[in-house]
Amino acid sequence: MNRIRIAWRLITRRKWTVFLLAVEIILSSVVLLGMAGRLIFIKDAIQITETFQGEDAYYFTPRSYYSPDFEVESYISPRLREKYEKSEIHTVEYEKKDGAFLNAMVYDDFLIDHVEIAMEAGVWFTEYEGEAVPAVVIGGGCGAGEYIELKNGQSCLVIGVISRDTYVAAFEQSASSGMASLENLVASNVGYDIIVPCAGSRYGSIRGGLAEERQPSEIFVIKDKGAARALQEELLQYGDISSIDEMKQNYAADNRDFGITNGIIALVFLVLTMVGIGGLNGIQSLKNAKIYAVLYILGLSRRKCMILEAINTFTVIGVSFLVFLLVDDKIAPLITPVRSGKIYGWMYGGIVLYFALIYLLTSFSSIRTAARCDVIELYRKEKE
Amino acid sequence: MSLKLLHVYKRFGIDGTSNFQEALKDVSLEIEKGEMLAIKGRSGAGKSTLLHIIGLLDTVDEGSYDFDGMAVEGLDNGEAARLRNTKIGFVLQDFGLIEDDTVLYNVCLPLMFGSTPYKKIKQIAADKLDQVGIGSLAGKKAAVLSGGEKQRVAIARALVNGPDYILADEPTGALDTDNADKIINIMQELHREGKTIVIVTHDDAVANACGRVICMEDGRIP
Ligand SMILES: Nc1ncnc2c1ncn2[C@@H]1O[C@H](COP(=O)(O)OP(=O)(O)OP(=O)(O)O)[C@@H](O)[C@H]1O
Ligand SMILES: [Mg+2]
Repeated sequence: MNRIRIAWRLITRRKWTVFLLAVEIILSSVVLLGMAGRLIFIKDAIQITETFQGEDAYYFTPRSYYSPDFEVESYISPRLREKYEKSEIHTVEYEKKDGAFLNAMVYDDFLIDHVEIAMEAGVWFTEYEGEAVPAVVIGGGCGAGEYIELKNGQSCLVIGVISRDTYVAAFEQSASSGMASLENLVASNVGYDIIVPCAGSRYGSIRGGLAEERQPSEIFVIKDKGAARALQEELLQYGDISSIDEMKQNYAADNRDFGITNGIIALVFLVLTMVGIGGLNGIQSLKNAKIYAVLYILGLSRRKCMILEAINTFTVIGVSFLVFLLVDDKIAPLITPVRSGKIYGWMYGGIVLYFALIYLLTSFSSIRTAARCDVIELYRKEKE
Repeated sequence: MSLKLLHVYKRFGIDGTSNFQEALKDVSLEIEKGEMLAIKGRSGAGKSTLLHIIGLLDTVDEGSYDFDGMAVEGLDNGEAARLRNTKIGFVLQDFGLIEDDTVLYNVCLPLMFGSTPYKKIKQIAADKLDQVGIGSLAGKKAAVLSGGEKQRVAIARALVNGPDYILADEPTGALDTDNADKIINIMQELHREGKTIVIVTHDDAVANACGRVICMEDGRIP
């Protein structure tokens, strides 16, 4: 109890430094969390480039003046019709048993087999072997293993969950050749709740959708390499077309640049926080070192001095971090540019560890100096 | 009960070289219980080094040290710290107070390493302050006191755990004659109460007040 009193005096004695430290910890936590989130985001985004591995595929968007029902294949020369397969995404609205609406993206087997999506829980369709119609939920709401009951009596089994901000194939944007990147093909934060297999899929499907629409773009997979050029030329007359391989390369390059830029920013920031927090803490524990020298003379062992400093340190970190957790919700919207990424629980833990490390290193190194050399000499030097 | 040093050596490395300097060379010294001893000597003779070893702040490089029948070489850091806390009271030339704390808190500190209730600690500390004649200063910040007052706070703090040994390193070095006299009187009073007192000093008035005077020269006691 008395020792806690001593530790408390050590903290309150330097209240301004401690206050500055706390502010610095809070701000750093906010920014570091954003940085970490952004890097993870990029890592996830790059995963989708695994998509369409080894396929000779083209992304096609009809010009916008065609009606949504425009079927390009009816215009393609008959000799080319057998040379490709087409993949598209439909969007369907279902009514749930409880009356709520469910916005679904309907994937065909080609997409299901070729898209690589970072799962948050559960599995992707390709790893599912059950009888029930499977579904992958976007952004939670229900967990893997639960059933979603529809008003028309059908149901589907949730086999996996992906987070709302994960990239999925969406086929929403058009791709003008040359500049196109996978970014046109995929999207995050889509306005859909669920991904389900299409009618006729080998995974089974749900029927009875209310409003069904087709996404603007589609993919042409060339089966006969010799026909690739001819097909591209024909498609170009009706819209924008680009090779998925090229889109992947552009996308990977963009992400690499983005990753490097963000990595450097994060690194600079890490160094800044290290210097800022470490320096401030170093100053305050250097001031404390003289006090520890006195405590040592009065009969506190070096080990106990260190324990005291550890209590001191962790109280400051702990309290600052608690304050951060309390204000995080309020600060985050103000700094959305640096908070666009994915934030996981473990990142909070990582940040606490990081601070603790800086703190312990700067605090203990100064106590160790105090403990190693002649304490009274040190005490005198401090005095001068 | 006594303190016994036998053939003690202490060496310090010299910064930036692999050489070292012998601050103590073959020092043997016995301090009897109840004695009042002055250690004199020129600057750099090794007086403080010797006092730090006697006070368990530092360890010997060679030789042996027997503290009240215990071999100090066999003590771990924790035990040495406990002995410092309970058996030894230090008084330093520059007082060694925590300047931005109150006089009372400074005097309480040595007792706060143990489990005595804080209320009781404050009482004991207040008594010690009365004993050295500055009871009225208890609530003041240490920083605002005069040198003589600070040194008396330091003495009160050294006494608060009821130690057998009082070790003082130039306790009057920073004080004028009046204040130095007061400190000498307090030390003599403590000596009469049966405390063993070792004072490192340049001041002949202090040395003359002691029962025995030894003079160090270049790390030795001739
Ligand atoms: N921590 C240390 N590191 C290196 N050298 C030291 C250390 N402490 C003492 N010395 C050296 O040991 C010698 C003895 O020092 P000490 O402090 O014991 O002298 P002193 O007799 O107390 O002198 P003064 O009267 O000036 O206080 C000196 O030469 C000093 O430089
Ligand atoms: Mg000295």
